[in-house]
Amino acid sequence: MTCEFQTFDITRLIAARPETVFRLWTDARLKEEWFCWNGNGWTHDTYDADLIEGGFERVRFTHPEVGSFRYESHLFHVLPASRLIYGYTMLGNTGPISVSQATVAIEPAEGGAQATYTEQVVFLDGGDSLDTRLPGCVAVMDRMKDHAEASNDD
Amino acid sequence: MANHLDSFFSAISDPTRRAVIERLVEGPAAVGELHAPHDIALPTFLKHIKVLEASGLVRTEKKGRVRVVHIEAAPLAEAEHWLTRQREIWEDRFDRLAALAERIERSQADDL
Repeated sequence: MTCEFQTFDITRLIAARPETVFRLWTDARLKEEWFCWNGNGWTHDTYDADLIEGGFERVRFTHPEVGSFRYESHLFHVLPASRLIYGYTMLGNTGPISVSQATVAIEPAEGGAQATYTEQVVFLDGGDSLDTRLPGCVAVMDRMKDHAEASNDD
Repeated sequence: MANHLDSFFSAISDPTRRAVIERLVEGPAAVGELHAPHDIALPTFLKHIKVLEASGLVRTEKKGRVRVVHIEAAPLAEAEHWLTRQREIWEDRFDRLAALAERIERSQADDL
């Protein structure tokens, strides 16, 4: 078993004031509109959120063949018009699939605002209980990677 | 491409399917052999195989009276690029976020 932590970030220049961009992260009705992905058979059944410091988000995504996944977040830090830090987990039928920390930084920029989203993620390997689930990480991912690389050599 | 990500989530979200994939990484196996270590009824186990097959992660072929299950490399190679997919999801989200923010900004400017 190995543990794998990864980080990625996305930056975007938006032709709107930082206050407007911030509103899209803290107004639940607006956030649902851009955040929830619907397509490729996926729909979201519920979006329940209170986007304040100490608040939460709960979303359930469903695919007719794949099944349902839950997204649950907790907002640790909310600084108006400039920063949000939250943690979230994706849950399958047997528990968490991944746990992430996300940081959103919003800054004034030429012509509007610059928004940067940074996510630090750790994949869990699942398991029957939380105790066995948390220490064990992405062995399956490693094997898949090995297998994919071996297949490429063929 | 997003379907491969979905398949990946589907596969790793279920312990039985995860175990099947782990076993298949070592090579193709007959359904009976795959089922043996699992303490569940065969029809239930076959449903897991069907889910994996429908998602494109495995394919099955009949050899005589035995059905053999193979792993499919392509979706796994896709799954390996989970971060690439996450990035795509977030690029899409930022497209929608920017469009919405700019629309709100324009409508507020109109109100002034």
